[in-house]
Amino acid sequence: MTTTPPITRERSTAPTARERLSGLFGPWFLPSVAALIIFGIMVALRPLVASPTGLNLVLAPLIPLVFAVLAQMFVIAAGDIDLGIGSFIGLANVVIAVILPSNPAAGILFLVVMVAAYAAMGVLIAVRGLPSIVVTLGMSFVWLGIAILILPTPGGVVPEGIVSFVRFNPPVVPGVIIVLTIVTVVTALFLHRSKYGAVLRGSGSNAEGVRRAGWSVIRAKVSLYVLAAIFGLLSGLYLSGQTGGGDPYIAQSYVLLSIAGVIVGGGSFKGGEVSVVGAVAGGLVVGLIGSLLQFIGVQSSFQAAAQGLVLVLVLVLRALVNWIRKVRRTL
Amino acid sequence: MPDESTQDTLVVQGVSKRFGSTLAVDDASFTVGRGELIGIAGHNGAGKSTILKVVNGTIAGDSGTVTIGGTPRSATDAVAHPEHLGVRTVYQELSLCASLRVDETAAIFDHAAKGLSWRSKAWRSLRAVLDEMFPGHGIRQDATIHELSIARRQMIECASSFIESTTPPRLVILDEPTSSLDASATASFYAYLEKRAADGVSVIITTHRLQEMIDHLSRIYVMRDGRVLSEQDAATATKDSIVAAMGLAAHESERPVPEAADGLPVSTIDAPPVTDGEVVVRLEQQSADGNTADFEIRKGEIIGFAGLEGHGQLLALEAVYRASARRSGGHRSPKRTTHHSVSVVGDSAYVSGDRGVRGIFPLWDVAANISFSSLGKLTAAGLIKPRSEGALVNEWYSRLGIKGSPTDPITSLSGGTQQKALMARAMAVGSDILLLEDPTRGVDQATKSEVYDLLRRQAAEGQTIVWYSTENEELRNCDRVFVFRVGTIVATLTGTEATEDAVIALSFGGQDAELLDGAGPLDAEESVR
Repeated sequence: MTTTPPITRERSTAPTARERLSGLFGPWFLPSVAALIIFGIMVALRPLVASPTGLNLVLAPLIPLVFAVLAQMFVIAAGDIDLGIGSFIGLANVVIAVILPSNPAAGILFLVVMVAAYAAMGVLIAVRGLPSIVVTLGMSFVWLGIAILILPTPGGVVPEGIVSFVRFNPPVVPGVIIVLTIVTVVTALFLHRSKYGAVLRGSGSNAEGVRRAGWSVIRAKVSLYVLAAIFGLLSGLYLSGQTGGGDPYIAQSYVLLSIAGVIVGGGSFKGGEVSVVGAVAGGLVVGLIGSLLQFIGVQSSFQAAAQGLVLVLVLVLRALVNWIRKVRRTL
Repeated sequence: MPDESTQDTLVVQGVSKRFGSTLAVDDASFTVGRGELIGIAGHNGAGKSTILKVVNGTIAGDSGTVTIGGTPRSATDAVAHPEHLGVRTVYQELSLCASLRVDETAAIFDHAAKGLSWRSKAWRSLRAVLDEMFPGHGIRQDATIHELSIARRQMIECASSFIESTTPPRLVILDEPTSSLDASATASFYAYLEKRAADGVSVIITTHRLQEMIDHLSRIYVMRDGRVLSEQDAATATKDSIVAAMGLAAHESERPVPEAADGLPVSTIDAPPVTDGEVVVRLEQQSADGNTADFEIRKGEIIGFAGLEGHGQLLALEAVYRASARRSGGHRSPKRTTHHSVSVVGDSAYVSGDRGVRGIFPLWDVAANISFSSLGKLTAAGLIKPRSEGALVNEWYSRLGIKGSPTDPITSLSGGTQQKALMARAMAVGSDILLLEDPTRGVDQATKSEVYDLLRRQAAEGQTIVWYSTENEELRNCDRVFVFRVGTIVATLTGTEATEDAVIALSFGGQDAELLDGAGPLDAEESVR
């Protein structure tokens, strides 16, 4: 436990230059730098990566992961954790590849019901106080089971419209950059600059406090889970368009990668402490590490371990930065 | 509807609330006029917090009515959003969101701040209150709550309850609002309250700082054991009269003037150890002004750690635990806190008053809960010997007089009995030292007396007991009492002289200062994670 410094020793209203500087080092700073460094190394190894085509080739496979990280970010902002997001994305992929082509109305209805199911999960967790780990883990088997019922072995054909939408790539600015920018800006504006965004983050940080201030904590929880579901669907949409077919197991690895992305991106399991820019950067870090290791020819059997080591390194750095800031503050 | 300006803002009639076997509020009635500042006094556990939670509808009472602004409601109805009735509450445990910025925090309270510049609007309405309530507060719009000191968080919380918002405040309930504020902030805070009272806002305050109530409020209700016992006009009330009404000093032959440490009714504030056994715990104290002092606790003593909540008792108690050896009679390097260096001879067992969080294993039966800490000596070849375990459990069942069967789930017991089971777990280990953190919190009187008897028996058998308590009246069961103020031990009293008056006078002795430990839930959270 730390002691509180007396008032007189605290700084006054006007921010000092150092404070302005340290304000720049928000939670999103470190992951963004990490993503840029990894990308820089890749460019140094293969200069072609920096070309529009190269950018598309390297970044496009990361878009579904970034959406999954954002989905996970909303749940972690609620102070929860979502172990079902991978199966959920897989089910979305299967629905888009199998049901949507044959019966568009039924397909869309199915996707809407999936979002509603996430909302119901939010209610269950908020009202009954069930641990989110248990609920989402249980639901992950439900999603996977339904997906396997619909499509026992990989197959199906994703509608042409979705494929061309996802692979849309204008000549000058690569499509992936456009998508990443729009998604990051819109989501960040909502979560960090809108009033309800503040309520949502607050509800994850101190639900009782937000409730006492006259807000519905249940509605906040449901909003966060619905947002998570929508981003899960977007992730499934991009996966479907990129692969062209359906596979229930396609996104299983996203569960842990998305959690890693949020945490690397400056988020914290405490709830309420997340950063959209950080999460996007965190998703890129997690994904790019994989590509980089392939580039430098690390054997695929070592890749997972190497990936993990780099993630641990980023987290150690972050702990170090936090520690330094804390020490400075208490000086 | 009657005229708003003459009507009482709040009328509470015959409210009762029972938690299990404890009657937390017993037929309480009081009124708060429009624009009136009233106080509710009472020692820890008198029912202040409970009655206020019934008033604002956070919890449902068992009977009675609560009339707010002329609109009666049954006290048995909980209210989801009391702020829509114009009732705002600041609780003792801070309820700000650590991860939000100051202006975002303001916006959560200010429902009227909308549109693109919602953050600036909300900040303006919060700053308007802050500037007046705490001139020179030094809080920046873009600071994050977790960067702020406890005092500033408390300022924000106090100020936010007076933001106009969509429903202006009509009745503001403040639970220990000034506990972390210094003298000048406290003074300007009350000046602000008086100004708002002139506009018709009513305020209820509970605080342990009795002088504050006398100086700034108009009337004071005194509670004890869940009952509203007396109503005093602040103009004529004194600390003495309030303390007397709390019933705490009723059995004293003469009541002292608890104003300064030198006017105390105690023969010494430097009581020597009562036994001449070996020294078990040694606290080397270095206070903020550089003075040093040593405190020794000897084998077989019962030592109480007293003072107002959050003045360093818990830090010291936990340091004793950390400094304890693994086995009986062993040594370990001394452990430091801000003001103490603690060295201990022997091992210790710790009983937490926070049963739910740190104590019981809710899924296990009573027997498993009791034997858990002693499993080391109940095993053969790494396996638990059921017969020894059963013998141990049965022995403690009879010693503590726990009713029921050892195979009952622990959660089927009442809170007090659960606490006894926890104490049995710690005592069964047979450690040299027993550390108790508010062991009788929320425990009924009968069980308390049993606990006191038990402690005396343990001490007679040579166990040293260090006991942190928030209930001053039980300190007389100690051999000696260490009174803490702002992190340091300011006096050691003999148990017989450790009266509520003496302890309160010593804990209030110096000037009010910021809290040290128990620094609010936000900090506690941070340090845990």
